[in-house]
Amino acid sequence: MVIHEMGEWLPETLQALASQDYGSLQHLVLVTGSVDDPRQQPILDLVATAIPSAVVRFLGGNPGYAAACNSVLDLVQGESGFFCFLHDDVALAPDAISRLLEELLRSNAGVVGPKFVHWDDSRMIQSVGIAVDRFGVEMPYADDGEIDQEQHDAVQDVFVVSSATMLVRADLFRTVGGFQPDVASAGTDLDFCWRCHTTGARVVVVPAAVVRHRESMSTVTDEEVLRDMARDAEKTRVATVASLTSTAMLPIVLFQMVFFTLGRVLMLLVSGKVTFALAEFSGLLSLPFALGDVRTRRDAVAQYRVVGGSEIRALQIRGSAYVASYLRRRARRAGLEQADSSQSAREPAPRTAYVMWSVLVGFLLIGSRTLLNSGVVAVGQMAPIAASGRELVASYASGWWGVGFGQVSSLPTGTVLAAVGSIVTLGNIGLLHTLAVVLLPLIGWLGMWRFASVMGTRGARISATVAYAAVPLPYASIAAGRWGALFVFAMLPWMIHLSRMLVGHADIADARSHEAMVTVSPALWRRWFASLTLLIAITFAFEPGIIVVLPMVVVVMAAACLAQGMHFKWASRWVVVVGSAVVAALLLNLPWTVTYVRSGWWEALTGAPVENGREIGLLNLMHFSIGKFGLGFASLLLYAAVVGAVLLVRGPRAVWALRGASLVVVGILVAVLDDAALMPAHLPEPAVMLVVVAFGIAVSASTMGASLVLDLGRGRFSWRQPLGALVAVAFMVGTVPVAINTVNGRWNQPSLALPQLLAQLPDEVNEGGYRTMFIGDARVVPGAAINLGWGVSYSIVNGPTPTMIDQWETPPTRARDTAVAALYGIVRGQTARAGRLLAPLSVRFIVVPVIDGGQSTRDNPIAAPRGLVDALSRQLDLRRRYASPDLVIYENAAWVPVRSVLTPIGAENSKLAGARSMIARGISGATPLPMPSRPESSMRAQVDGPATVHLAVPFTSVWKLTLNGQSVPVRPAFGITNAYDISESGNVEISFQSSNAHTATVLLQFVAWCLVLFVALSRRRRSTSRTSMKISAPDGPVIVMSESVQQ
Amino acid sequence: MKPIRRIINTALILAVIGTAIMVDRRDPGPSEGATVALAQFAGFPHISSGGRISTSWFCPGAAAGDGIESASVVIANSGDQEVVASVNFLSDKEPENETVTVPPRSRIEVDLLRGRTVGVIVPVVEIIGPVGTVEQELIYKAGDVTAQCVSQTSSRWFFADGFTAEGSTQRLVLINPYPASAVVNVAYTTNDGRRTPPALQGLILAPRSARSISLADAGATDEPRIAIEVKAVNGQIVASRMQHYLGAGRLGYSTGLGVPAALGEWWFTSGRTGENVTEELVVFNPSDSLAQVNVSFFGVNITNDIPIDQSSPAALPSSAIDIPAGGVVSIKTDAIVDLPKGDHAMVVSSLNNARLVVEHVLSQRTGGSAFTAVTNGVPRGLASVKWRIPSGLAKGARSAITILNTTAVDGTFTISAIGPGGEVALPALVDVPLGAASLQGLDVPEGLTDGEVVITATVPIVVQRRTTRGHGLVGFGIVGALPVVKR
Repeated sequence: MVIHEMGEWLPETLQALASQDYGSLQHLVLVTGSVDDPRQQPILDLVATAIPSAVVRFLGGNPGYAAACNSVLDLVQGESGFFCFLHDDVALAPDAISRLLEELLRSNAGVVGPKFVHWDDSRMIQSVGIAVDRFGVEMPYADDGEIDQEQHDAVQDVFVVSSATMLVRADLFRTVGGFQPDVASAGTDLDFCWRCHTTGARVVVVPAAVVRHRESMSTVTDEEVLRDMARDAEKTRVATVASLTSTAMLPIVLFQMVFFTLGRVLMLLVSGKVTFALAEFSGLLSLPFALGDVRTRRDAVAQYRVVGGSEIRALQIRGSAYVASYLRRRARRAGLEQADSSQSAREPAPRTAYVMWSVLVGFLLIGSRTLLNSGVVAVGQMAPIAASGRELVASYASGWWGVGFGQVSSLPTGTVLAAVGSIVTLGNIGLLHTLAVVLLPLIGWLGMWRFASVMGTRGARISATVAYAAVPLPYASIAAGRWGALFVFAMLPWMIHLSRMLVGHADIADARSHEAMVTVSPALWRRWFASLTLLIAITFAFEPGIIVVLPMVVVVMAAACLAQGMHFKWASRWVVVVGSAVVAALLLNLPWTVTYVRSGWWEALTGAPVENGREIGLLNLMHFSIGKFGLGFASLLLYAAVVGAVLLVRGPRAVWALRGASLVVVGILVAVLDDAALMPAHLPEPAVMLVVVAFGIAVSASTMGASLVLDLGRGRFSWRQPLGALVAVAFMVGTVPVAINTVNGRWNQPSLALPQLLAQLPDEVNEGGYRTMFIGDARVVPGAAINLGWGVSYSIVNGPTPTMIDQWETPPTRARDTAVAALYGIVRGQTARAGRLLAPLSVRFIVVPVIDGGQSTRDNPIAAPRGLVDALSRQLDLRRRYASPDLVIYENAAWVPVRSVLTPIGAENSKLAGARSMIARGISGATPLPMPSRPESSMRAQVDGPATVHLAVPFTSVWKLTLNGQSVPVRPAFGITNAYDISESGNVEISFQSSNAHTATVLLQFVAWCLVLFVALSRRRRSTSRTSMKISAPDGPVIVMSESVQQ
Repeated sequence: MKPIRRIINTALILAVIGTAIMVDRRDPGPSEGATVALAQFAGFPHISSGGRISTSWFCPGAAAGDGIESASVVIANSGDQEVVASVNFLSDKEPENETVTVPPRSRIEVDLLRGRTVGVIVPVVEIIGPVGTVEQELIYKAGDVTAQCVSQTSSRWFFADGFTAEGSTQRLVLINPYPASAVVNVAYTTNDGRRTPPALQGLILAPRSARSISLADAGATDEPRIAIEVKAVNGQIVASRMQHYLGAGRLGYSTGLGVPAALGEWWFTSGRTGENVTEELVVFNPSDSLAQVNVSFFGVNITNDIPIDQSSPAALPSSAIDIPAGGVVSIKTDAIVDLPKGDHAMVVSSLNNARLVVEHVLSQRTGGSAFTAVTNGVPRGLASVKWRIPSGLAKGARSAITILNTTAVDGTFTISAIGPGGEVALPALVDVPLGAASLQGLDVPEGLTDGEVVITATVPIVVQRRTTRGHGLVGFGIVGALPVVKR
C-alpha cells in the first residue's frame, strides 16, 4: 500500500487490509515523504496499531504511485508470488484478496482487479473494468454511480483494471518492468495492462472481490484542475497508443487517430466543449515532441512482446469508444428522462453557448470591419505605437525616457510589453495596434464567461457574457479613444475570477442551499496568485488606474460578504489576497513603479482631473455615455437584470446577485461623486470606473439567467414569473443597441482625429527636432495630460503628434518645472514671454485642442478652458498658425531645435540661468542638427566651430559629446539644459550612455517576470519530476516471498 | 442568506442609489481657466501686485523729427535688487533691442530716438521680474509730454478725442509687437458721422513693427472732432495717438495710448474751470444704441446744498445728456452755471448701461500763450488704494497731484518716495485726511527727489497728475498715475 497522506479514511483502509481472510499476506507500506517529517508520525502509529507486522518504508518524497509501486522490484525478493497494489483510500472487503487470488489462479490470469464501489454507498458501482478502443480511449463497463444490481458480477476479461487495487503475478510484474513511471497517473493503468497483454497475460475483473474506493481525485471540481488532468491524460493516451501498438498496425492506427481526433475536436468545439477540444488537440500535437520517449518505450516492450497486434486488437472494442459511450449515455439519459416526471427546468444545451459565441464574435467582426480593414483611428489614447518592437526594447533597455523633455529614468513596463505583443503579430505594429483595440472586448467577454462559472450553470454563463457584451462601455471607449478603459474592461473579469477562487468562493451547486467556501491546494493557489499578479501587473503597466478600480471592487465584495453574514475571515481574504497581488504587481513593475514615489503621484496614477467635475450626469453615466454610441439610452434596460436579480434570485446565487447589485450602485455612486468633483481626491476617468458597473450588471445578469432557468422554472406560479419574464424582455431589448451600432463598422470612431489635423505641422527632419505642447481641458489633451490647475492641463510630446509611449506621465524634472512656470505665466498672466521661456526646451508648437473626435465632438464639444486662447494670443512670441473650431495652433517664434548649434546670442545667454537668460533676448535662429529616429539614439554631424551645441534635455552628464573623437565637457545651458562648447570645426557625435545599474535592474525585472510567468503557467509538473526520482533499496530486499505466499 | 440580511442589503443599495440621485443635482460652476490672465482692465495703465515672471510695457512711441528734441522711456525700479529690462524698439524697420540694468531703488532713462530723425519709434519694455514700472517722456520745444504705458495688448482701441483743425496734425500709431502679422480696420467719427475709409480697412501690420497713419491723409482734414475706433480682426495690437495742436483754441503736443474698451464710468481728477479755460469731456459712443450720461463733479464748494449721498459719492450731477449711437458729444463744463470756478474732479457715468469712451480736454490761454492737456479717464474698476508714479513728481506743476476719494467714506492717504533708502514716506504727507468723495490737490512736496512716488490710501482713490511743459512754458499736461491692482 502506498500511503500519501494522513487522511481520515486511513484507519479504515488499514483496518480493512488487516482484516483480510487470506493468511499469507505480507504487508509492505510505502509512505511518501521522509521519516523525519513529524507529520508522518501519525501514519506510522496507525500502521503499527493496525498491522504490527507490516514493513514500512519511506520514499523520501512523492515519486508518484507508479514509481512507488515499482520499488517492490527492489524491496521484495522472489518471482513466484503475487503483488497486490493498493491505494491508501481503498477499503477491501475481508475476502477481497482471497477471491482475487482464487480467480487469478483459476483463470490463469496475469492481472486481476476487483469491483470498485463508492466509499460512502457500496450500492453504487464505481468501476468493474475498462474496455479500450484502438486509440486507447477508455470505456468503462459500468457507469460511475450505477446501482449495483449484480448486473456486472460476471468474471470477464477486460483490457484495463484499476491499479487502485490490482493483483499481479510477481514474475509478470518483473517481466514488464513494473509500471511506467514516466506517464501521467491517468494513463498508468492503461499502459501497464496493455503491456501485460503484449506478454499474453490475461487481465480479468473479479466482481466477487469488492473494494470501496474513496477516490479523492473524483471530488476535484475545479475546472482548471480538470482541464489540466484532461490535457495530461490525452497526452499520455496518444503516447501510449504510439508506444504499444504493434509496428504493423501503427501507421494505420496513427492515421486513424489523427483523423478521428480532428473530427472529434471539431465536434467538441461545435458543442461548446472548448476545454476538452483543446485537451485532445494538444494531446495530438504533443506526439511529435514525444517521439524519443515513444521509441524508448517501444524498444522496451519489444523485449517481452509475444502477442501480435491483431490478437491485442481483438481484445479492444471495435469502432470508437466515444461513439459507444455516447450511445450508452443517450440511452441512459432517455431512461432517466422517462423516469423523471418532475417539471425541473433544463439547462441550455451546449450548442446554445456555441450560438452565443458565434453571434458575439460575428457582431464584433461586423462592428469592427472598418477598423480591421483600415486600422484604428488614433483618437484619444489610441495613439499609434510608432516604433518597432526592437526599438521599444532598445528604448526600454537604454534607461532614457524620451517622452516629454526626456530624462534618465526607467521606462514604463508597458513599452516592453508592447514589444512582446508585437511578437504575436510577427512584428507588424499596425496590426498589433488594431488588434489591441478590436480584440479587447472579446477578451473581456471570455473573462466574463470564465468568471460566471461560479454560478454553476451554463445559462448563467451565457447571460453574464451577453450582458457584458451588451453594455455600451467598450464600444463607447473605442469611439472616444479610451484605451485604458477598454483594457480594464478586458481584464477585470479575469482578475475577479482569479480573486474569487483565491478567496475560496466555490462554484454554486444547487445541491447546497448556501454558498460554499473552499480552500485549494497550495500549488494551485500559488498558480492562481501568480496569474492574478501577472494580470494586475500587465494592466497596471498600461492603465495605472486599475490600482484604484480593483481595490474598490475588492472593498465592495468584502463589505457585501460581511453584510451577507459571511465570516470575517473570508471577507478579509478579499482584501488580503488582492492587496497582496496588487503589491506583487507593483513590485513586478519595478523599477518603473518607483517613478510614482513623488508628489503628484495620485494624478500620475489617475490622470489629470477635470476641475469642478465633468458634469456627465447620472443618467449618462448609467448608460455609459462616455463616447459616441447610438441609442445608448436603451441600454438602461440592462439594469432590469440588476433589479430582477435583487428581487427574484433565491438560493445560493442570491449572494452573488446582491454582490453584483452592490458593484453597480457603488460604481455609479462613485462615478457620480467624481463627476461632480465631490470626492476628496479625483478618480480615474469615468470610462475606467464604469467598468465596475458593467461587471456588476453582468454578475447580476448571470444570477438572473440562472434563476430564470432553475428557480423560476421550478417554482409555483406567482408574481415572480411574470416579473422574471418582464426582466428578460427588458434585458433583451437592452442588448439591441449594440447590435444596431455594429452597422457603423467602426464603433463610431471618427474618421478624422486630432493627429490628422496635426499632420500639417512641419517635418522634424528638415527643420530640426521640436516638441509640441498641448494645453487645454484634460479630456482632450492627448498623451499624458498633467494638471496645471484652474481647469487647465497640458502634455508635451516629441514631434507633432503623440504616440503610444506618450501616454505615460513622466516624473517632473527641472525642465518640466520651467515649462510649468511658463504655463503659469500664460494662464495667470504673469508674463507675455512664455515663448522665450519654452524656447530652450524646444517647444515649437502650442496646441489648444478643442475637438478630438473622441470625448469632444462637434455635436458635443468640450470648450477650451476659459480665456486660454486669448491668453495665448497675448504672448509676444507665439504666432497663431492655425485656428479652427477643432483646435488652435500657435508657433513659438523663439524656439530652438532639440539638437542645435546656438546663435552667438543664444550661446551667450545659455551661460546664464533663470528667466533673465531666456527672456532678455531671443535665442531663435539656431542651426538644427540631424534628428535620430529614437530619442536615445546617437547622432553625428559636421559642426563649424567654435560654436555651442545645445541639447534640449534636462541637464545630465549621461549625454556625451565628442568632437573628432575627443570628449567635450557638458555644462548647463540656461540653467536647465545641456550645452557643449566646441572650440573648432569637426565631426560631432552626441550619444547616450546607459548605466550598468539600469541594465542590471532591467535584467532583474526580466527574471522576476519569467519567474511569475513560470509559476502562473506551470501545469503540475510533479508527474514529470517524479520520474527523475528513483526508489532505491540500499539495504537490500525487506520482504522475501515464501512458498506459502505463492500458493 | 437570511431574509433579514437580504432586506438590509437591499436597503443599503437603495440608500446608495438615493445618494447618487442627490449628488447628481449639484451644479458646479465653470473652472477659472485662464481668465485671470485677462483681467478686465488689463489694457489700461496699471500694475499687478501679484508675482510676475516678466512684464511687457507697451508705450505710445515717439515721432522723430516732429519738433521733438528727445524721447526716452523711464524704467523705475523700486525694489532692492537690480532689474534687467530688455527694450525693443519697434518701427517700420527691423526691430532693435537693448538690454539695460536698473539699479535698486532708482530709475533710468533709455533713449528712444537712437539717432533717428524721421519715423515713429515705439518702445516695448520687457522687465524681468516682479518689480518695475515704465513711462515715456517726450521733450518738445513746444511743451514736454509724459505718457503712460500699458502692459497688455488688445484687439480694440478707442480714442474719443481727435483734432486736425487749423493745420493741427494727428497721427494714429498702430503697434504690432507679435511675431505674426495683424490685420486692422480703422474707423473714425467726425461731426459728419462715422467713416470707414477703404485705405484704413484691412491694414496689414508686419510682425514686430509700428505703423503711423496721418488722419489728415486719411481724409480727416480740418476736423475739430475725430473719434477713432481701431479693430484688429486678426491679432492683438496697441494703438496710440500723437497730436500736434496748432490752433482753433488748442496748442501744444499730446501723445498717449487709446483705451482698450468702452466702459460705463470714467473718472477724472484734474479738471478745471475758470477764465480763459475751456474744458471739454469728449464722449464717444461706439455702440449701436443711444447712450445717456451725466457728469458729477467733486471739489471744494461743489455740493451746492446737495447733500452727499452716502451710497453715491457724486455731487452736483448734471442733467442727462444723450450721446447718439456712434456719435461724439463734447460736454463743456463751463456751460454748467452752478459749477464753481477752480479745480475739480469729475465722473462721467452712463445712465443706461451703455459703454462709452471719454476723454478730458483742457485748454487754457494764459497771457500770450496757451496750452492743451488731454487725458484718458480712469475706469471705476481701477480705483485703488495704491498708486505709483514711475517718473516721480519732479516735473510736477502746481497741483501736481490730484487725489479723489471715490467712496462715501472718510479716509487718509500717504505719499512716499523711492530713494536710496528705499520707500520713505514724506513727513508732511503721512495719513493726510481725505474726506468722503473729496478731492485733494497737492503741489510738489519740498525735498522730493526724482524717484518714483507711491501713494497709498485707506480707501480706493483715483490719482492724476499735472506735469510741467518745460522750457519755461506756461500750463501743464495731465497724465494719470499707475493704480496697483490685486490679481
